[in-house]
Amino acid sequence: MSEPPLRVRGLTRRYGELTAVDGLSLEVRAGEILGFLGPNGAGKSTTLRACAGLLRPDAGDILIAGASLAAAPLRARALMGFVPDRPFLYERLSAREFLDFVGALYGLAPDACAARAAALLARLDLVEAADDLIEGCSLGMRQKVSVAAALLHDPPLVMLDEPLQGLDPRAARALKDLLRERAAGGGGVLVSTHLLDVAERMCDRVVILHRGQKVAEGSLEELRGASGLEASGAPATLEDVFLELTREEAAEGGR
Amino acid sequence: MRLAGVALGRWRLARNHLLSRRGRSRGRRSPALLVLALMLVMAGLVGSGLAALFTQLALHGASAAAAAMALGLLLALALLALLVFDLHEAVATLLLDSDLELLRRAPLSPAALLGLKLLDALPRTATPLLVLGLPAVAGYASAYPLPGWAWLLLPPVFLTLWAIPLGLGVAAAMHLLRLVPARRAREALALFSTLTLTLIWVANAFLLPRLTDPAEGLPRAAYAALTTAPAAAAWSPAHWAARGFGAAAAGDPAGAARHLAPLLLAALLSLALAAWSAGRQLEGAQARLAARVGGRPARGRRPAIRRRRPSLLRATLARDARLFTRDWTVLGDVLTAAALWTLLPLVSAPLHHTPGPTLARTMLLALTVGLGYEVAARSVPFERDGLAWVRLAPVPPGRWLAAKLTATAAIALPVLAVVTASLVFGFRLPPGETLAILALVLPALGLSLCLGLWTGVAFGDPHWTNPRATLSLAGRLLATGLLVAQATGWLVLARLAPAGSFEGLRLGLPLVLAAAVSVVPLRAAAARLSTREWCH
Ligand SMILES: Nc1ncnc2c1ncn2[C@@H]1O[C@H](COP(=O)(O)OP(=O)(O)OP(=O)(O)O)[C@@H](O)[C@H]1O
Ligand SMILES: [Mg+2]
Repeated sequence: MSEPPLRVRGLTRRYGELTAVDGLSLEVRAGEILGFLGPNGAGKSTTLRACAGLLRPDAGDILIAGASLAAAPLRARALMGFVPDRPFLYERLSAREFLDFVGALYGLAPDACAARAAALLARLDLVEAADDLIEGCSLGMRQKVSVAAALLHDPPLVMLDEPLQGLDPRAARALKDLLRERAAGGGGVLVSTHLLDVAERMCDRVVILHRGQKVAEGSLEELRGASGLEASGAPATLEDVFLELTREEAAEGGR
Repeated sequence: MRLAGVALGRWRLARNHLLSRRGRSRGRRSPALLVLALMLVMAGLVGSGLAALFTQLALHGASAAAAAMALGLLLALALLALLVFDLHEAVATLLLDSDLELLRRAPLSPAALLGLKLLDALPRTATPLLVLGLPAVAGYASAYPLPGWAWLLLPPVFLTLWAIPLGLGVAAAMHLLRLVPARRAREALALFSTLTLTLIWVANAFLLPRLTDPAEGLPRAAYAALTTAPAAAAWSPAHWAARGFGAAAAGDPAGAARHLAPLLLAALLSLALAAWSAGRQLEGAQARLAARVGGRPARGRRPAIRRRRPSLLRATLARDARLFTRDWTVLGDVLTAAALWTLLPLVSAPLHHTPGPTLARTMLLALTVGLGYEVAARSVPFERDGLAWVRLAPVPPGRWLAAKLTATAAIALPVLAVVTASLVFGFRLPPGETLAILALVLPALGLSLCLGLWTGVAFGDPHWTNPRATLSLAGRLLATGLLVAQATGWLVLARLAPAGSFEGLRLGLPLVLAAAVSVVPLRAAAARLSTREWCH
């Protein structure tokens, strides 16, 4: 069996006294979009940043398509793309120049890189702004550039931290389509979001994180079953399940 | 506005800033102690040097009032430094701070907002007065003892000295910002600090060399320059303060009061002017800066010529060249600073009759050492958050550093080449001498770039606003120490190498030395890059 795009085992990360992520295990399978949900401060961004190699975990392993982030960091990084919640951009480069640079970082051949950048810019409706300095770009345009940079080298795993923020409906649609295509092509996508209706429609499975711990995992049907909301009659939405699961935990008190 | 509540909030903010309490982040222990230690060391060095100077003046028979003129010069220097290095902090605090949105929406008068923001800026802008002004007074007092009551005057006098340039500067900046278009506003701030750097440098360069000559004690010209009141003294707050201390040392409280009263008045006027300008301009200026900058096409883009091999090196070179040339304030600053560094040894020359080749060598060494800070150290924070790509992309830190080193060399070498050529021409250096100088200067450049990269990686502040201050305070203090250490080291090495010694050794030694020492900062930088964390 080939390795899944992402496998996380026992990930723990502390900030001083606070345990932001506590023994989290999850897996993104080939061909699926995994939604990563949780209330504010649940530890989603921390998890994603740890998986992207930007934060050191205190415990646990992270395998990117079989490559250990700790033992073979360069190979692991080459296999993923990451869209942070606040994009890492160069203000005084144009989008196209920026993508050229990122392509070089990933060792893409210049022709392939240019072709791929052009395709992504077109998909994300950025062609017109592609030669303006990023400095003058709006929030949504920056987000799109950041997405294009993450997809440029066509990695088997893409992780996105609240990628829809700042995107207009058309851009949001374009991004969702792009992600669906990647999954259909056998790639894995991990996406954190607060938009539960989007998650409901876009994701194959979801993981719900609460106070650093996984409180639920599975497809929407599985979650409905597990939450016991079905029994009460009315068809439960992901929102109902989410509120139910994170409320229960909250009632149990702090860690 | 509920004063007590606001004051409490500000106090908490200042405390957390000083203690560097950024949430519960781990592994980034506060550099506050380091900053404090470095500042104490600096202040100690400056203070002991100045104590020696004032002792010399006393030995030459200068009266307390005459020596107070030297104190006035030093305090004026501290005020200039405040303008150059810290005014931008105050203006940035006032116009760009992240809490402005909140404060602007609160029912605060512009004057109250100004007061709050100036208080915020106080700890960030006190350095020149603490490391130059205070030691100067201490040095003065070591030769001309001050009565106890004069020490009590110290805090209010320094507070007024701080308020005068900041008040005037803030008022001026606010009007300046009204005149320049929004996009240029930040750049105007930066340009302003480059210009003042030039000013302070000129003042410094023509004063310092006239101070002391260890061989002959204090030269007559220096003594005269130090103890006679310059024409501007009547208008210089620094001199008013110094005269106040002079009167205090002479045991004349009435005289001290007479000199210090205008100081207080000037401070009040300056703050009033700032408040008035804030009332008229602040909101507009803040709104203009907060407004999004309009789209701007990237210049100099040719239809891409596709080459066969991908190259991290080429990409880094292209990116750094673009980033540097598109930020004309930084480019201008680099070129200005390069000129100033080169000229530094020259202006101290009139006192000593230095042979041409030695002078040329010293000038080039000053430039080389300076370029490490000007180009290499700044090139790292210059990337801002883009630096995170070192960690996201599959690039080993060593390769990244090598590319970065090449890119900084590509910017520094042309500057060095132009200056070398003009010196060779100006001093009519023979080829042999030129070669010997280059054999020293090129390795020195390599080392200074490596050290610069390390300071940039370790102390770079991705949120800088002033191109002269892209490192944290600790970083800038440390970088200054490194500059002095390098310059001293290379000059001593050049002196030590006996003229008639084996040529090969003389030429090769600097290279070997630089290569051996460079390993240390490069390793430290690579280690820092691979352990650094990117939080929010
Ligand atoms: N740099 C940091 N220093 C200290 N604590 C931090 C830091 N970053 C995050 N935290 C804490 O870690 C916890 C998890 O934060 P994280 O950003 O991962 O949450 P999140 O799930 O992404 O939240 P959101 O939905 O608001 O983006 C929070 O309690 C937060 O306060
Ligand atoms: Mg988050």
